[in-house]
Amino acid sequence: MRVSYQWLKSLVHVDLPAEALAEKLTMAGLAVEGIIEPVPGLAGIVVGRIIEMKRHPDSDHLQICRVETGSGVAQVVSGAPNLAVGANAPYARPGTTLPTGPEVGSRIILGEPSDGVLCSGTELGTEEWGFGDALGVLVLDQAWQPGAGIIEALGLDDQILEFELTPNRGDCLAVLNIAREVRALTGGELTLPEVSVPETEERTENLISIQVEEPELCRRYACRIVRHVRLAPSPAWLCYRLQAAGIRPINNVVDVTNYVMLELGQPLHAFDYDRLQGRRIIVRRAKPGEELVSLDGARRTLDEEMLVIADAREPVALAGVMGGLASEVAEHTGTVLLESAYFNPFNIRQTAKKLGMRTESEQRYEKGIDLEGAVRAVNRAAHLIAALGAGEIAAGVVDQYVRPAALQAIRLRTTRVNQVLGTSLNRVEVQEILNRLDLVCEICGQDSLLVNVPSYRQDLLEEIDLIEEVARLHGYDQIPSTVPVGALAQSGQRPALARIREVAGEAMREAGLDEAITYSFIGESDLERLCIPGDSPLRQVVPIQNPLREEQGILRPLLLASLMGALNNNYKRKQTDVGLFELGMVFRPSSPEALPEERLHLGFVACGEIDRGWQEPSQVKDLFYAKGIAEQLLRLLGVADASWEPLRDNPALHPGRAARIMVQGVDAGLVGELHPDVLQKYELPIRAVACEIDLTALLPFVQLDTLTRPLPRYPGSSRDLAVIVPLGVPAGQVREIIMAAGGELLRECRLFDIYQGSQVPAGSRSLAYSLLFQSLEHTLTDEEVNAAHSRILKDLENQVGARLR
Amino acid sequence: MRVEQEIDKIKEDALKELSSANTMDGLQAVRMKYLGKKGDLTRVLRGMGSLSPEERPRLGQLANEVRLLLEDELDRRLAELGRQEQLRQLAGEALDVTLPGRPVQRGHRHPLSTVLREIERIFTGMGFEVVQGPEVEWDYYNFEALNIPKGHPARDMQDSFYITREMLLRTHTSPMQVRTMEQAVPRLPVRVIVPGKVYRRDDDATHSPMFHQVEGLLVDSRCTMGDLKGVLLAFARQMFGPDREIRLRPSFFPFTEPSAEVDVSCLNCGGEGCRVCSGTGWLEILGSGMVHPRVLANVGYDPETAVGFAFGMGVERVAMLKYGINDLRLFFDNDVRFLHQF
Repeated sequence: MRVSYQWLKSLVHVDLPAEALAEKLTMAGLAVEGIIEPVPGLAGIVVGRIIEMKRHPDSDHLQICRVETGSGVAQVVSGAPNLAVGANAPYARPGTTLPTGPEVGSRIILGEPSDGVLCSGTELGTEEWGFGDALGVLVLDQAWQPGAGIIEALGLDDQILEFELTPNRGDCLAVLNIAREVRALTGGELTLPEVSVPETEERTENLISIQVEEPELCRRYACRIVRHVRLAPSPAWLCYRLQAAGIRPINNVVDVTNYVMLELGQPLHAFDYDRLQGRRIIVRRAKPGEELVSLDGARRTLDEEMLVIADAREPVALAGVMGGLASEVAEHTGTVLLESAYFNPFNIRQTAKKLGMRTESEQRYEKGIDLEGAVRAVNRAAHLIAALGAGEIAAGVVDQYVRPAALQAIRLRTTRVNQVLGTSLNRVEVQEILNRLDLVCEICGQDSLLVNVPSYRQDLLEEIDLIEEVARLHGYDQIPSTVPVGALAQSGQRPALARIREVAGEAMREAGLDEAITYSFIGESDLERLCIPGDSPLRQVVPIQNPLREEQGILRPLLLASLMGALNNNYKRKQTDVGLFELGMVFRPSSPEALPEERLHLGFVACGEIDRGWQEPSQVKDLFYAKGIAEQLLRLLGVADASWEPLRDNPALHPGRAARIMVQGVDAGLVGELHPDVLQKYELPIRAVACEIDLTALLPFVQLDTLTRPLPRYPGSSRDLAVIVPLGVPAGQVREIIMAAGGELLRECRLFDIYQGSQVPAGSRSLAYSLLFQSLEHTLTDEEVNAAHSRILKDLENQVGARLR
Repeated sequence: MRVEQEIDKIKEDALKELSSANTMDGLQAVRMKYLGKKGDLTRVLRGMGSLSPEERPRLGQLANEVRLLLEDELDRRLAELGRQEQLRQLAGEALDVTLPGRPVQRGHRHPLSTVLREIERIFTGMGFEVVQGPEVEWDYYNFEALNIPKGHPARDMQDSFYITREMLLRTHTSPMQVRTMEQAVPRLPVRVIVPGKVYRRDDDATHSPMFHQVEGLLVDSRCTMGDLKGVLLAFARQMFGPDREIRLRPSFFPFTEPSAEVDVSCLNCGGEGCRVCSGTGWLEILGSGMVHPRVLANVGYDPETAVGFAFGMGVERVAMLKYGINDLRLFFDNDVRFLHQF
């Protein structure tokens, strides 16, 4: 909502600078987002009067003018066709920069000096405000003395306040109601707009009959008739105020309807009365498939949910949203019907949304207008039309007030005010604040007031609404800052997943991975890129009904898709050694009656090399890099007994370099190098690794709280063990056999070498372990250690055909 | 007198040789020569038996003094040579200290994650619990229970991504107000914050379809708008610095009343007015208000005996102010050159 400060001042006495008023209004809940000068850059341009004029001797169209400027007389050479001695025109001195750009100088034109210029409306940028054009100098009112500022002479000494209103204050889509707020804040006197109407003999009720078929959707329909319409452009002041509000002037009748809408908040519509069949207005629902060509020229197909204004034959307007083209007020119009109605906010909003029409009228109706204000508004319009000489007003208003307003009276307790706000106001102070807003209070017991709410304040429905009014007028800055009393929260515990999340993030960062945050939505195409087969459970996704774009059409079933996108983006920007992790929710559909299942996942992706400095060669990030990180994560989470199963059939991963992570029989995720096909789809010409772990699945196995074990008091005994095993035997199995055979005495088993080559038979490899045997009870004897060692070797021989190297 | 002279000579010779020997082995040879089992001084001491009882104590003492002197001198020279040898060894091990050290690789926390942790730290310090809720929500929790019925114009402020007619991606963390109170009722107090992702159907230079919020809720038998101010002032000062002030401006949210937008004095100019704060001296950081009685009633509290406040802040906004980030999209682009700055 944009409001001319001049206009506002005409309704309420206020002499604050616009900035100061804006601050007051903002701090009272009517946010002023900006203050605009109608035409910036006019300062310094003055009224000049042409006192002498002669033809330029060397030109057939230039005139040499002597111009009284208020501070002397200047000679100006001009080619404008409308110059006349005695005329007033805008004069810009040399050195002035015109609002439209050019700087004015002193020049010699065909041998004659010319100091400054006489300006046209186009040059000044005032043309769009209705002042002047490109064809000649802008002629100013004779009453202005030379030297007067052009801003004042054009009545542009104004500022436009740009309001950003909250949805509850629909009443302030009216300059008058903003003026009421100004009065409440400054105490300035209000001047109500003149609504007296000079009427002719002819009775309105004899000219039109109104039939409201939908009283719930149209609680009131009032109208007047204007005869002998004389359409003309509106006067400058009216055009200016409309334009300041962002509305284009059209003709005096239409402009008056818009003006009254801006002033009082009541949308009005002007119909060409002679186009209304049967001299009837019927307010009814549209019939299915019924059509209307609206004022903007578009043919609209209507449905039964939509309310229309119809004549005896067909719809002539979309109620509250837009008029019809056929009944538009135009040149030929002789008689006008002025509509001032109240339509159901919800219904208007639905219709406007369905048809995609946001109009000034609709915006006011959907927020709820003043049901009591309909007649005053149509009278105000009639008054202005008569005053502008735009027509003659038939006698009386036809007013179908089918569902009258029930006036609100709300009980307000002073103790409640203070209980909510933390203030210590007394009843008299509260009453004084409310009176400033025209809320009439009756005293109702020691503590309470009965507050009568004016019909235009539809937002005031219950006690808390009044408490808010008290708060904002008293001033939020007057409320003391205090510290809450009372008990602290019940547990102070963080949810388990939040703690896991923290530990997991720490583990990832310590491994050198950077934290990424990607969108929770991806596209089906991302699943294609990851080569996820059509029958995979990951294809069971949660689609978004109205995504912004197809690539964001589903909620992600895994993190890797978006992480790979981020990896690819970085690679394209020549960042080749990248490691990213993300902690976030993934989504799986559940039953239609339930919310989708949300699971916390950890994912990471990495490519390139690990920089080991200049002393050692860099290391390519491969399966074991990724697995090392995953192992460290599980250690930090206290998850024991994870096993790593070869994963050969996941199309996203390298069939020989990927593993499924199993924890006590539960599938906890996967880790591996990406399949070359996937790398190609992400335009990565180098190896990349990926891991995704379902932390929600891990939750039962997580042990974050440490319980210490006693330190060993007896020395341990170290032995190395190198065995040759067939190639097909996984190292994990060898380790399991060693651990089982070693029993309680075996404290550590660390693989330190793998050899495959000429020193061992073909088809086998050597695995070398460093073993530590130790007892908590005594120092082990050689016999005990030897026995354990042979047991291990024997089991290895028996179970996987190993032999000592 | 012969013995005396002999001792003197041994002393002179030994001292000379000790000072001229410049290897460990050389020193050991000198020690053997004079102080060893067959050394000169040892021999003299052994020969004491043949001396007269009058001379024996005097010469014995003299010889012992010389032995002690030589031993001291030997130790001193040994230490000196040891030091020299260490210096030589250390000099040989010298490195070019201007070469870079071995890289320690540590990943970086996402700035939003850092800010979220900081917000959580501040509010848990004030006795708030951290709770989390679903990102896909029922229309009921996201809107209806928060006093935003279907067709309410306030729904336009939050254009939503729908999953079904009744299910959507939550547009704010406020639904957790309702869920938390439903769980707690009739118990008081409720003091929670809710960090999390939220979604709105908007994508341009200043809007991201996904962003983060932290919701705060306190409901108790005694709680005022003054308490809201006090808590938010404490937050602003911990988050943005001890000199910060806050300002509450009346606003509108359907689920709080009175409602307020909260500004913090500009971090850049301190309130004088500058480019960062568009000359106002204030930066908007969050929305807040007193929990609407109808919301309290919806979850089963009696609004006459339970009062509360709630607030919600945009984490991206806080991070942008704190780190001087001017482009929202950087948060979700995951460019490592950006992430490495944190």
